[in-house]
Amino acid sequence: MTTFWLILTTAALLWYGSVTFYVAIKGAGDIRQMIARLKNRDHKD
Amino acid sequence: MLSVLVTDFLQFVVMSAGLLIVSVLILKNIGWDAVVAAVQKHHGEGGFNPIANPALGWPFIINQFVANAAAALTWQAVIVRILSAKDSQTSQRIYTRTSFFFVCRFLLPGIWGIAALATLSWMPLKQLTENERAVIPAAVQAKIAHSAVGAPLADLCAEELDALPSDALEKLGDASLLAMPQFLGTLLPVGLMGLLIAAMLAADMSTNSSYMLSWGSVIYNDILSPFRRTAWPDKRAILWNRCIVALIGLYLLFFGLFYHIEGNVWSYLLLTGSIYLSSMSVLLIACCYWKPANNWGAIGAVLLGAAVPVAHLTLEKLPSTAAFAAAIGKDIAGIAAFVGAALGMIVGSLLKPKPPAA
Repeated sequence: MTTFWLILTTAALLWYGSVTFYVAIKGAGDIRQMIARLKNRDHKD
Repeated sequence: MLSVLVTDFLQFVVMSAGLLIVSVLILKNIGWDAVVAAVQKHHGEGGFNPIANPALGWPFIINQFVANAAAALTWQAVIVRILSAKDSQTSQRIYTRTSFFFVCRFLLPGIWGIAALATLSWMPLKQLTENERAVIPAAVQAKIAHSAVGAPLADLCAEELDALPSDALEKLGDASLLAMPQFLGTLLPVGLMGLLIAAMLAADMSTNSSYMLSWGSVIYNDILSPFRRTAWPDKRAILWNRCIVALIGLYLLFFGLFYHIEGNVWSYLLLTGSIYLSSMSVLLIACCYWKPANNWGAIGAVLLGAAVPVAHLTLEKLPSTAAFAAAIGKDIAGIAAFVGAALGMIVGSLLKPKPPAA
């Protein structure tokens, strides 16, 4: 039973770490793009 | 809107980074073997397997499954993300791709708690000052010292409990709640402690803002709708929404400060949550997949789904019925709420007279 919990804990750490890294990088890029789009729209208006 | 998006993004990153760094640090410093040994020492096989634990068992597993499935289906803070997705395929992807998050969110803080047990061990009397300990008889102190983890007062009889000063009772009752913060205070260096507090505040702010906005919109759009015969101007609507959110904030503040929770906090949250979850999940499923479902059934589900948890919480608070409520347990009461809501839906729907055929 302890092996099950060890595998689950390791999987949780790896998965959470990967998702956090992916969201941090991709999200920062998306927000930068969105701010640039909003700036362009303001200039056009 | 942009500020909400950026704030939510930063909150997620800070919260997740804090959770991960602290978990890795705990496992590195305390070690997996020490964590396993602490569970084995204090809980035996029941610490690893809920079926082998007499305090948990199948009622615990069924209640966790039913209540958490209902929460994923109907809890406002969850479905507000699903309903704001651009299409049903995106909604499905949100469900499938975030489902393992629930495992992480339950498991990793659990490891922190076990690490606290491994490091500090179970010594509830340490919460008391020397003066407070001095007035407690040695035999009572021995019972408290040898009590099961999280239940320092469980072995005391009514006379022994009555003889304990109220301050000591409160401190002993909170002994297990304070273990993790005390442990983290000794383990984490100063900078990381700041990051962890920022992460916890981020999680708290994100959760509370979701709750306040979703509850506020439910109260304004659904509960107050009978009082709005014509559409209100935007200015008035915004003012009312702000007042509702402020009142919810005040309610949460006073509830948090003054209401004393009996027993296990998680079981309490699930049981109070089932007042809403039981009827809403039954309503959602029945209205989508059961043709005879109607408004009588909906009223029956709401009433019975709320009656069972409210009755159990009331019985817990009354001295004459507290033992009976404890014997039933919160898990059985939680399951009964869902069964009651389903029965209310079926019986109510079948009782409603059918309209005469044209």
